Amino acid sequence: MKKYLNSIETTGAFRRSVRGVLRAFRRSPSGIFGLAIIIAFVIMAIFAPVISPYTPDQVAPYSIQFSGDIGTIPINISSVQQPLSIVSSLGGGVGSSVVTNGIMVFNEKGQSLTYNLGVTGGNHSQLKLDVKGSSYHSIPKGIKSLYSVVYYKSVGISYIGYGNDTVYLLYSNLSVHYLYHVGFNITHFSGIFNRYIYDPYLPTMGFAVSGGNHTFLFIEEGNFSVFTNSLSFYSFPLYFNTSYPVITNPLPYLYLDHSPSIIIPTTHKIYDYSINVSRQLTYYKLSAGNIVWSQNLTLRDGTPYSILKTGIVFPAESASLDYNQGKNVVVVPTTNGFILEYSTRNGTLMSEVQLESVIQHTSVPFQGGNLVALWSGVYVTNQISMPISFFKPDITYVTFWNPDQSNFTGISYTIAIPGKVHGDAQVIQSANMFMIPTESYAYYMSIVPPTKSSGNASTPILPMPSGSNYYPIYIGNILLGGASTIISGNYVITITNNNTIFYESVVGYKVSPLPPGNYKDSVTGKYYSYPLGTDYEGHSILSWIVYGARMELVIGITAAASAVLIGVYIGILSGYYGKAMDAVLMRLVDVFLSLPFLIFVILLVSLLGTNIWYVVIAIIVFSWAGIARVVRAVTLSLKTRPYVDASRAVGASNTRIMTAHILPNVLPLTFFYMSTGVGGVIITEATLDFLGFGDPTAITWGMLLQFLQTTGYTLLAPWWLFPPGIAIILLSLSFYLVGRAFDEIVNPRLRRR
Amino acid sequence: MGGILRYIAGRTIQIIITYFIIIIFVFLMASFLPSNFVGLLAFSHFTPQQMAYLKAQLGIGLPLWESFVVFFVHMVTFNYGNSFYYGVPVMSLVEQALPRTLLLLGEATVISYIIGYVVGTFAGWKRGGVLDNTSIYFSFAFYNIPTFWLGIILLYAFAFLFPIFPLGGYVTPGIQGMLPAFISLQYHALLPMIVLVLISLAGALLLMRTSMLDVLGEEYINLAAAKGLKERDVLFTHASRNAILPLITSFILSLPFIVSGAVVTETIFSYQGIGYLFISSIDRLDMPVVYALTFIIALLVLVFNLFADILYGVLDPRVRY
Repeated sequence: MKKYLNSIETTGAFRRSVRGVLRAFRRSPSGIFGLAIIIAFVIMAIFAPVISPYTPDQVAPYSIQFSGDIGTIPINISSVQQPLSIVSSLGGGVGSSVVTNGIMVFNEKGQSLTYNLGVTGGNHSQLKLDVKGSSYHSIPKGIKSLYSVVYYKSVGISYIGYGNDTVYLLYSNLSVHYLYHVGFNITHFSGIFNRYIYDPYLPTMGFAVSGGNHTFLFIEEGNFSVFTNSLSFYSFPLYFNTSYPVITNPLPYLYLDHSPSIIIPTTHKIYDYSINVSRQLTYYKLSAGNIVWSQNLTLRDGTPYSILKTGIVFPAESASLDYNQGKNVVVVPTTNGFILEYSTRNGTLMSEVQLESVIQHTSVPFQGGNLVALWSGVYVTNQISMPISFFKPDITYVTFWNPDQSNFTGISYTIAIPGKVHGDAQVIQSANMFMIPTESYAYYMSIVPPTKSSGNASTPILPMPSGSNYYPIYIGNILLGGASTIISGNYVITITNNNTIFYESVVGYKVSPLPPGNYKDSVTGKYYSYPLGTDYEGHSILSWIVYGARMELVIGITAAASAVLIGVYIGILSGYYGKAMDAVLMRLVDVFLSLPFLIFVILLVSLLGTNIWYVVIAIIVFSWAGIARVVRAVTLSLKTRPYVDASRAVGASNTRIMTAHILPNVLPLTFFYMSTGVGGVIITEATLDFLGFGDPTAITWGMLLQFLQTTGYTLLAPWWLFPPGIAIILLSLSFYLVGRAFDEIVNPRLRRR
Repeated sequence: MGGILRYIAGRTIQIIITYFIIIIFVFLMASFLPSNFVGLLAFSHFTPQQMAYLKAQLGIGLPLWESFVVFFVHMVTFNYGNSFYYGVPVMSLVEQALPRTLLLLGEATVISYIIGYVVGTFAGWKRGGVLDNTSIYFSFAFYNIPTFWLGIILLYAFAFLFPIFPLGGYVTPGIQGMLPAFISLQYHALLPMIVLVLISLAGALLLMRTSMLDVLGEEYINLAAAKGLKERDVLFTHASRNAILPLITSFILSLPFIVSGAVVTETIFSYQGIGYLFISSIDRLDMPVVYALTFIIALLVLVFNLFADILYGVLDPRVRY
């Protein structure tokens, strides 16, 4: 009977309490307004797929996001390797010679396909890549990598390929010539050492392969004529076979010297193998424009380290650099990513290079990784010389060193590349660009050297299909039609994992973030509608806002409800039991109240890690205390009420009194804190996202604003800036108004500080 | 008088205990949470010297108990060591950044409370009037604007579309002379200050209005009106003077948060104050700075809370310790 009475009383109290709240709520127009907005957002969240045609992770087609020519070519052989590029034209003035444009792809089964390419269209903006046909060849099985050797007057193309421990030479008709069995597992190929480019007859003269601590250097020799269309590589002697006591890292270093004003005296030997030793550096002079050196270094931590490098020594006066004495720079991409050393030396003409006279030896500390510089190149214009280093795969930084002409200490430009660098960087000399491939983008560093000591490196980005099997490569100029008016397209290709070649023109640029509007996909002819525009990646802002409402509502309500739950629980316990329990709990509350909220939330989130639920946890941890204190105060006054005494006299347990008599009376208060809390959570979460402590995989409005900030379009894309902010304000405000309605009417004395 | 001294002594002990708990709390967080600092060290590249320094200063790499002792002793004695990133003592960084933050936030807080006081007074006096409604809706709106977004919008409007203000920084580099430097300082602080004023105005305004409504219900207001005093006298000498009390408490309570409150605003405006230092130090894993700022700010909050309580007692004669 007692129990029955009590239960009536309980449900009655709850019902009265809830009914009172609702009755009062109806009298508050702003509360109803707030509730209407919340309901609108809930509907939006539930029916997101109906409202928004795209999912938030769906990107706009490449042809919309990109201004240049773009498309795919199917590959008819299976499991294709990294494509081999045929760079067929090295610039204008080729004359009327036939230019072979093409891409060759191959697999380890010994199959290869060669595509003949051309371009159509009247000018650069109309350029279209044209596949003129493909042909099938057999090549040795197990070839891992192929390098093309290209001749200036299109006298022929040869390929050097390797698999395991054998080096092959393939001719342009892909007939095979077995070159040498080196006796170790080849892991690296040096690339081709070019002979001096302005010697138009012999662009190629050697290459090296390496693996473990072995390095083989092949240098072509013999008296061969370029005019016979049958360049022979058969007489490669082995000039260089060195073992080092430590693992060397001879990675592909291929340098092109395009310095225009050097004239090599005809009497000068194209290359000589005399070895100059200077300090730690051993130079193997291969040609006027190329050197190979080995260097014994000691790392900062004391590890001995030895490298074999090839490189270019480029002369000063050739490039109208302001070098009074013709200082030259040798870039030594050395150690485990910490040091990049420069040697400067005197020299006037290339033919008089004095490699031993190292006059200055400075080092530029590099912070950022423990990997060797994978690729290093030298970019030369008539105003600037710029060694570049790329670090991969864990380090996604590209560093440009712009050697200051007065002291050669070097100014470095470091550009962070989002995502892992995925393959070797490539120089696009004709477009004054470098391309750094990553898993999903090809980053282009266009280097504009307007002043003598500063280079302007910007990073336009071309999209790459996600999940590309291989890194994008630059395939060079593809010429249009006849020789009279040369229009060429610079193209980059990659192979995607559905066995197609994806190509795009380097002349184009990334257009997104797209302003609001309708766009036509030129490949499929479909129209895409973006009423609020897109972000940088081509995601629809509208979709992001609509889908984002889901996450905002879930985290807002979860966090606020949890904080209130904890606060009410601790508050009632503390207030009801008093004494020691009260003292302990309230000291705890004091501690939490004295912590600056945002600072500790940031600290906790940064220690927890980037996950949206960690953010929620951090917010809960630092927001229950205030509620607990207020609930305790209310409980203190409630527990002296006559009905509590009456209930106790009947024999009700403490738990029963707390749930049946105190909790219902605290309820309006919890409504208030719940409702106002949701807005606070949403804003705090957005703030954390924006400051960079959010979950990059979560679809929240804050992340949308964070991406806006990190991609640098903050002030340039208002269609991206305004919607998420307005959505945050509306949702937060609506919860606040609802909370306020409870606050003002149900409990007028209870006011927000 | 003895009462107040005993009260202060009691509270001081309480503050010290709370401060210790905060240090322990942060130490536990930093030792056990998933992406804790010690764990991240595995991916960093510190030299042996740096590692030795970490061991001596923060107890990194020692057994947990010894590590805690080293950490605790250093933090309690304000020996925060050197910044990893800047290589200078943390305290010198704090000394550099703190005045900027105090200038920016101090001015912003004072201005917002003054405006809040004036507008709140009139809004409460004429309840339901135009000013009252306007100010309430204004406050609601600004209560719910993310600070960072408001900052960007202002930057977009007044530094980009109409480039009146600078995009960031705290002073024009290389400026000479006291007066130009001061003007430059104020000029750079103006836009962030507007953001802070707008954000914190809402609270001050609503509080003052509510307090006015409470006071206006008191009998001595009726008495004053019945005496035939001028409306202005009733408003200022009787109503608003009494209603200001909660506002002052709130003001004092907000003072310690001056240091921490600028985290977002300073980051947006690249204003190199404490908040900016905190965020960038977390990004750089510059833990000595992070710890120092965390504990300094926490301690400031504790001390100012006590200060507020005491001041409250002085201002409100009804309060007895």
